[in-house]
Formats: sequence, C-alpha cells, structure tokens
Amino acid sequence: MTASAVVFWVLTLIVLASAAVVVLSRSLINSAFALLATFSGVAGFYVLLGADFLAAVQFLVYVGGILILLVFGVMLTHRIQDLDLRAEARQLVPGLFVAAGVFILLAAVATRTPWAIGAGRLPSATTAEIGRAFLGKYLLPFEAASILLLVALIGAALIVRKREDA
Amino acid sequence: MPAVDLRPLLPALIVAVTALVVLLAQAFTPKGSRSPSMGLTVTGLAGALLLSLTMASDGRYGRGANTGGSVVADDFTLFFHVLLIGLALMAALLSPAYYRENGGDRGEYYSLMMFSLVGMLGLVSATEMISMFVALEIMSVALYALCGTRRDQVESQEAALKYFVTGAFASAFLLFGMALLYGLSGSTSLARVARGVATATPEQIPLAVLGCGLLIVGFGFKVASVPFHMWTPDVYEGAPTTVTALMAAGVKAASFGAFLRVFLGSLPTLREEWVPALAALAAITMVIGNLGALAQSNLKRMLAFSSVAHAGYLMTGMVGTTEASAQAILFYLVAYGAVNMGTFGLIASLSKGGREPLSLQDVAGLGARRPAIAASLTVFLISLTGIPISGGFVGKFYLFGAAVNAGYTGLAIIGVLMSVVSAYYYLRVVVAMYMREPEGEDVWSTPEAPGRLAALIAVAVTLGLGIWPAPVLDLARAAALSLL
Amino acid sequence: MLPVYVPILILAVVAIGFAAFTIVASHLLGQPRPTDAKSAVYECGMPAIGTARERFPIKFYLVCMIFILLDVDAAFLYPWALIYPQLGWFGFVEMLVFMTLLGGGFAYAWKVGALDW
Repeated sequence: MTASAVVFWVLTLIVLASAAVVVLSRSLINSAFALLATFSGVAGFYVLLGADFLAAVQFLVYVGGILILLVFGVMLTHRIQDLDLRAEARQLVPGLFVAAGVFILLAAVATRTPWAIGAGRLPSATTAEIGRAFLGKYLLPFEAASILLLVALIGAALIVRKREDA
Repeated sequence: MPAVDLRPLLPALIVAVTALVVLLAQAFTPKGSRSPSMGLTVTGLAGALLLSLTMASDGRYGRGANTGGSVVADDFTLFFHVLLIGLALMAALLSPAYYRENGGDRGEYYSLMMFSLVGMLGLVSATEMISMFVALEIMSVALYALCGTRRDQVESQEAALKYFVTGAFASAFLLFGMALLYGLSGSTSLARVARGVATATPEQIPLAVLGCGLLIVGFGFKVASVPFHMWTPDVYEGAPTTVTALMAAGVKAASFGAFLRVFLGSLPTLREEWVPALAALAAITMVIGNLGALAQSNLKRMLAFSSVAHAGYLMTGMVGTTEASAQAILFYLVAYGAVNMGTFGLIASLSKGGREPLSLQDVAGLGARRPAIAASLTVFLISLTGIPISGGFVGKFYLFGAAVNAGYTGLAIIGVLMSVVSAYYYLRVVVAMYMREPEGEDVWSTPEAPGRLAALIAVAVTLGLGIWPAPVLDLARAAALSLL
Repeated sequence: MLPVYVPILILAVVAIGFAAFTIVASHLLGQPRPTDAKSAVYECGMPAIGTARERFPIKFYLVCMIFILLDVDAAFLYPWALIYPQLGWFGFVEMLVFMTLLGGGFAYAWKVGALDW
C-alpha cells in the first residue's frame, strides 16, 4: 500500500466512526464533539485530493464556525442534555430501502461513467486558481454571494431580535 | 480584466440597492419616527419595472446582452423580470396595512422581500449553474426569514423552520444534479451542458439521466409538486399572508422560469427520459393537490393545495417541450401570479387586529357587506377554476393543448377532470360569500388605497387575460422562442 | 503532493500528543488527596446555586451567526488576497463592492442593537 492509501483508510475510519457516534449517541453534546472528528477527517480528504483551499475552508468554516454554532444551539436549549433526542425510526425499512437504492444508483453511475473531468493535471496550489476564477469567470456569483451573506445576516438579526420591539 | 456588460443586471441592481437603502433607512431612523420603507420600496421597484419594460421594448437598452456568460437579458428573462417585479410591487403595496394590523411595519420586511426578488430575477436570467444556484439561495434564504417574521405566532415560526429544512434539502438535490451535469460536460455553463449532453457517449447517458432526475427533485420542491409538496400547506398557512402571496406567485414563477431554462433550453436531447417522469409527476400532483384542497376548511391551506395542483397543471404543459408549451406556461404564470397576489392580498387587506378571514364563516355574507371585495374574490376564484372570460381559462386551454399535441391526451383529461373537482372547493367560497347569511358583526378592516390599487390591478389582469389574451400570448411566444 | 503536508501532520500529532500526555501524566503522577473544601465547585467565594447547565442567552447565537458570516467572508478574501497584485484596481473595486454590501449589513446589525448586550 502506498502512503496515500494508508492515509485514506485512516481518514475513512475516523470519518465513519465519528459519524456513527454523531448519529447514534444519546447525548447531543457528544454528538456535537464527534462531529469535530468528522469535519476534520473530511478536511483530511480534501488535502489528500490536493484541494488545499477547500481543506482550509473546511477547517475555518465548519470546524471553527458551524461546530461552535451547533454547540451554542445545544446550550441555548433548556435541559436539552437530559433529553433523548434521537429521531424515532418510524419508517426505518422504507427509509433504508430508498437510501440504499439511491446510494447504489449513485455509486454505480459514478464509478462506471467516463467523466469529462478526468484525473488530469492537478494544480499544485489551488487557491490562486480559485481566486482567478472568482474574479474572472465567476465574478457575478462571487458578488452575488455577498448578497446571500447579507440576507442571512438580516434574517438572523430579525429572528433573534427581542420580542418587545417587534 | 474581463469585459463586463452590466446592462442585463441593471433591474436586479436597482432592486438590490433599494433594498440596502430601505434597510439602512430603517436602522438609522430615530426611534419614534417612521422610516419611509414602503415609499422607497415602491419607488425602487417602479424604477426597476420601467427599466425592464424599456429593455424589453428596445434592443438598444440591453435586450439580448450577456454578462460574462452568467446572465442574459433575452426575451425570456425580460418577460419574467416584468412579471416578477410587478408581483413584488403589488406585494409591497399590500404590506403596510397588513403589518400594521399584525404587528410591526418595519423596513426589514421590505428589504428582505426585495432581496428575495433579486434572487428571483437572477434565477430566471442565469445561464450558468453556479449563478443560478446562488440566485436560488438568495431567493430562498430571504423567504425563510420572512416566513418567521410574525414573532407572536407559533405557526409562523413553524413555517420558517419547515420551509428552511425542506428548502435546504431541495437545494442539496439541485446542487448534486448540477454537479453531475458539470462532471459530464466539464462546464457549469448551460450552453456547454447542453452540448455535453447532446454529444454524450452511451456510457455517459446514465450520468446525464441521473443528473436530470436530481434536478427534477430539486425543482419539484421549489414549485411544490407531489411528492415534494409536504411543506406547502404548513408554510403557506403560517407565513404572513403578504409573504405567502409573494411565495405563491413569485417563487412559483421564478422556479418554473429556471426549470424551463434548464430542461427545455438545455436538456431537450434527453426529453425521451425526462418527459415521462414529468408527466407522471404532473398527474399525481394534479390529483393529490386537488383532493387535498377538497378537505381543507382554512382558506390559506386550501390555496396552498391549490398551488400544488397548479404546479401539476403547469408541468402538464411542460411535457410538450415545444415553444408552444413554454408559451402556455409563461402565459399561465402571469394569470396565476395575478390571481394569487389578488386572493392572498384581499385576505391580508381584510385582516384586523391579528385575525384574518380564513374560514367559510368568516367570508359568509361578504357579497352583501363588501360587494366590491366579494366580486373581486369571485373573479379570482373563477380564474383559478378555469372558467371562461378569465385568464385561468385561456391559460389552461393552452396548457392542456400543449399536452395533447405532445400525445399526452390522458394527462390533459386528468387535468380537465381535476379542474372540475376544483370547482367544488373554489366555488364553495363564492357560494358562502353570496348565498349564506353573515354571522356576527363585520369585524374586518376596510382595504386601504394601496391595497385596493393592488387588488384592482389583479382583477384587471385576470379579466384582461381572459377577454383579450393576444398581447400577452405574443409576448410569451417571443420569450419562448428566445429560450428554445 | 502529500509531503507538503507532513509538517502540518507533525504539528497536529505534537499538539494532540502534548495535550494527551499532560492529562495522562498528571493523572499518573499526581497524588489526589481530596477534601470537602477542595471538591467544592469553587474553592472560595459563593457556594454554587443551581445547575451549571443553564440556558445561554440567545444573544450568543446571533454573535455566532455573525461570526460565521464573517468567517465565510474571510474564506472569500483569502484567494482574492493571493492574486490581488495581478488584478490591481479591478480586483480592488470588486472586493470593495463585496465588502460594502456586507458592511451595510453589519452597520444595520450594529445600529439596531443586535450586538448590544
């Protein structure tokens, strides 16, 4: 096995094991902390694929931001640590069938199709390339993204605002 | 430095700048005095509407212009721009009275409504998948927040949460589908995707079909087609009524715009694959939407199921995949938009002290007490049913005609049968208004001038499309031709 | 590709290893002699009242939301900063538009008291 194959399997183990804890744990806090390992493992995959910018963003936004938000969300809620919040598996069997079916379909198609974007040349550092795409070809969605962030900001401020002045 | 032609973006830019101005005006207005939110909003939207009309009528002002391969101002875009800005303008006119009765006439609502409109405008003009996705998210995120703005009502909070969760789910499907098509064609540009799909090797076809399927799921959520409609009744009921109006009229139109541009415009070579799927969805959507509406006693929920049913009618038109079907859908979106804006708008205008007329008892005797309002509502309900002299009739005629021409006669028959079923629940409201004795005091507000203006426009458009549909049909045809 | 990341990996291993080592070592080497006073929540000052698992004010959530938005903003800035020298004024104006929009939202949030405690 090559070094990258070893790294891949180690990462896979980390991601799958921690994801299982996220889903199966009784304690919401434990789930949130297990998510830390999942997110970090995914960042590792990005590194393995040579997507250094994505890896950095994964750490910056998911590990550093979303996870904190989740933990706050848990703490905002009264006595949530004492509740068993796992969703009831009411339609487990049909759900499993649909999920398995979609997975098999996607996996089969993904592995058999000759992709137009092949495993060609990898840019050694992707960040500058992404910057050029942002400010060139994808300038408009790039600027539109700031509107999206602005809307999210207004929405958050509006929903969290004190009730009296509503 | 890439050459950027900003003209296709100008209407959206005006709306976005107005939204920012309204937002900051609200924040920097001293406590106690009112910020001129509605005036600013109407001015900005009217400016954007005028500009879109100018662009549509004269090529010199940017019709056909293209911004860096991301958005295009073709006839299709401009048709939708005029429609969507017009609908938002009506929603803005309806809002102040409604928010005064239901708590808090604040700048943020107008601002978010306009940002949502920016997303809709981008959605129908995008010719590239990343732009399309970002526009869709702008539209949706603004609406998630708007749904939850009635802080005192738990239904409103529930609507925001449900819409957010299902909407995020839908976005994920859409994005996955886009990623697969990108993987097939190596480009996010819709034109390149079309070429990639047209020249796909047999081994690549499953990928294209799977991408198509995921896109249908994503768009299915956004246009509220069965089986992706579960959120609709709760969200339509819980959201503030003026927001519901914008959702029912604007979001449906914008989502169908993008749906048409992707499927008719870029994936026609795969029509053998996606048309049967769409036809099946259209059939169950019409049946379940109409049967669901039969069981509702709350007017907003009834109209939500009616919105589901109409997604089915519109998809019935889409199976034709010709320019005639695109024309029929565009025409029907105008008729449907006006009617929904009018119906929800009248419900909102009548609301008083946090209550709205939502049951048959509430509207009983309205014909005697408020003849003008009852007559307007009757016009809208007749159009929703599809009875002649209304825009709804002409629209359904062309929609079902497109399905018949495509060989889907059975689908058209289901559509007609379901329209007959729908007459029961729509006309039940008319009967209550005219034939039943009013119960109790008349507790509802009198619509104010801006609200009356919006309702009047809706009635005029509905009857105008029914009596003299030719001009809009011609415009819809030109728009459809620029797409195909 | 991968060797570039070896220093980062070493850093991560050292960081995690040091934390784990400290905890394990102090557990093994320390000789715990608990007394009532030492085991109290606070060794000095007020006795603790109620549970530590109190609800946090919603304000934290808003601050966190704003943090994430600025976080994403920073993620957008990062590739821009790398190629900024090649872009010159064009790049500057583009980023200015981007930041103005977000700045407007920030000014709004500040002004309406979303950041007040």
